[in-house]
Amino acid sequence: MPFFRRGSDDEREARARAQTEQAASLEALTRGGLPLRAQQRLGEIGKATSSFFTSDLSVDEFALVHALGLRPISQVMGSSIYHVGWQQRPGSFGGWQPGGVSQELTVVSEAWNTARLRAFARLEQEAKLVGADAVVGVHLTKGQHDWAAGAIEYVAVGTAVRAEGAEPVERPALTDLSGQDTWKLWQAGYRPLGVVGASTVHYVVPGWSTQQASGYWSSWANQELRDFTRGVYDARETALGRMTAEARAIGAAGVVGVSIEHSAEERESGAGGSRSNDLVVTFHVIGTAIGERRAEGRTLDVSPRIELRKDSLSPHVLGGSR
Amino acid sequence: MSYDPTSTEGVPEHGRERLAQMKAGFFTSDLSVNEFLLVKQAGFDPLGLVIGSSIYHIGYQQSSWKQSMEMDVLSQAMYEARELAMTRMEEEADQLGADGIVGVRLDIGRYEWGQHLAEFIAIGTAVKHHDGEMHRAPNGRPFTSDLSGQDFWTLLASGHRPVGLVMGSCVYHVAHQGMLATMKQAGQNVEMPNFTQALYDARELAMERMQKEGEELQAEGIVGVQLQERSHGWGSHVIEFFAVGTAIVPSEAARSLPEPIPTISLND
Repeated sequence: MPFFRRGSDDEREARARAQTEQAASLEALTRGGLPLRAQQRLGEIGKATSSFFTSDLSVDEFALVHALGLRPISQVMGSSIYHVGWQQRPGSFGGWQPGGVSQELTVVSEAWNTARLRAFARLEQEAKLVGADAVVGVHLTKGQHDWAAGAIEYVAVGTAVRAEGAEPVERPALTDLSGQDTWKLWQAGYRPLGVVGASTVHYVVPGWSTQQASGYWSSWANQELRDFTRGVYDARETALGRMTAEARAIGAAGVVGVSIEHSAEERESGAGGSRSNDLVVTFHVIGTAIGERRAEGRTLDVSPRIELRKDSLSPHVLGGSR
Repeated sequence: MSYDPTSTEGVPEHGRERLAQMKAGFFTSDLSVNEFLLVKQAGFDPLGLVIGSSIYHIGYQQSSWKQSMEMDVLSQAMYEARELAMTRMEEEADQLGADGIVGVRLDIGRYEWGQHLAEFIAIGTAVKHHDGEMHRAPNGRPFTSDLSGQDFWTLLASGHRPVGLVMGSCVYHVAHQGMLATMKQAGQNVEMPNFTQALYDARELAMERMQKEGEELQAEGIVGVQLQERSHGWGSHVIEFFAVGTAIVPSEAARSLPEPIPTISLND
């Protein structure tokens, strides 16, 4: 019964060791690095002569990745929990803004972007530790914990792979494409260069006309809420613009598999005696930048087929809900 | 729990009857039609649905408010209970003379009538090779895998075979943040290194344990790793990280996977 037991010397020593380890991990994390335990485990895998690997590749992916001459080394991961700062609501206090305001909440945007970049940076560090040439199937998930209010978490998980007979690379190429997609792209003459993404959060204070149309004195007429439309557009353009710029900076020919997640949340505000329903628009975009593998473009032969697939069973759920 | 292939411990009377019936050649399985056909084509016959379950009382462990640490009592409970369920399932399979179990899934049930109780269930379909080729794990147990029938076929065709479902579990207590730290962060854009470290460590421990299991099975590697994060009603600061995947080894059979053909599916 551990509850009644008095700690022995061994135990106390072990606890002290665990605490110093934790302190060292914390310090490494503050510098944007990896915790000690991860460094040790991955360092061992990187040095090991055996070909033992872990991967979150499905069997199909595994088979295809093999066919490309890539050997999985280890599942790698990066995460970051980030505290989001506070920012003054844009727009002047008191009185109406006849034109409306659509402005980026730079502090909040930056929080999302930094958290994502840190998670990716740690994933990349892990991949470097195991001596990988690329990381395939990178999944980025958002976590939310009720014990960390006002914070966001990003977790990136993928499989580090080594290309057989290839020159060692300086930075492993990350891709959020599955093994299947990577294989198809490769056949078509492209290679992944890295994951690019951006997040923006925009704050829209509706102007006079929008408020009139949506508010208490709304007329019966069909009418566009122009300020809100503009706000959503602004946010999207900013996010996509940043992602495109990032892709260009690494010399990509284009970005594939872009996923856009967007949400618009209404927020009531009362400034200077006037009330308005403002809008907070959030955009997250992420995709894989690709470059041409060879000068001559190779087209992929594709044959149409009808699948005899109609599985009546839902996929297996391990350990409960998925 | 030691492994005894002849043990029917914990299997109720009806379960034994069912096992006897399946031994006679009649099978039940939770394979879909496609899975059934592919498993057949891979040279295996389904023998029957095998189940192992264990209702486990999870102990109590005191956590300290401001210390991030592993709750090793809970980690051990979660791990042992799953291992127990898995072993019982393997024993059932062994009684049917199976070479292995495909499509294994692990479920956890919680009931109102027992707050600290959890039911761990492992279910899968026992299969046997037509020609009695050896497919067992090096430790003599039937192989287990959470691969579907399709994946099983593909894996065999790619010149590998599954040896075992490997898992690692870690229950971790995430420290509460002190007042001072919270005040320092107020209104700031900063990373929360202590939270990041806690979750990172917990995932790392779960993955490390899974990796170790794979190495013990002398596997070549682990595919299909899933990393799950769950809270089992221990309060919000205590989280279980569970890593599970299928360990594989190269098989004697040559790689027979046809060259992949890119296709456009005409199904919608």
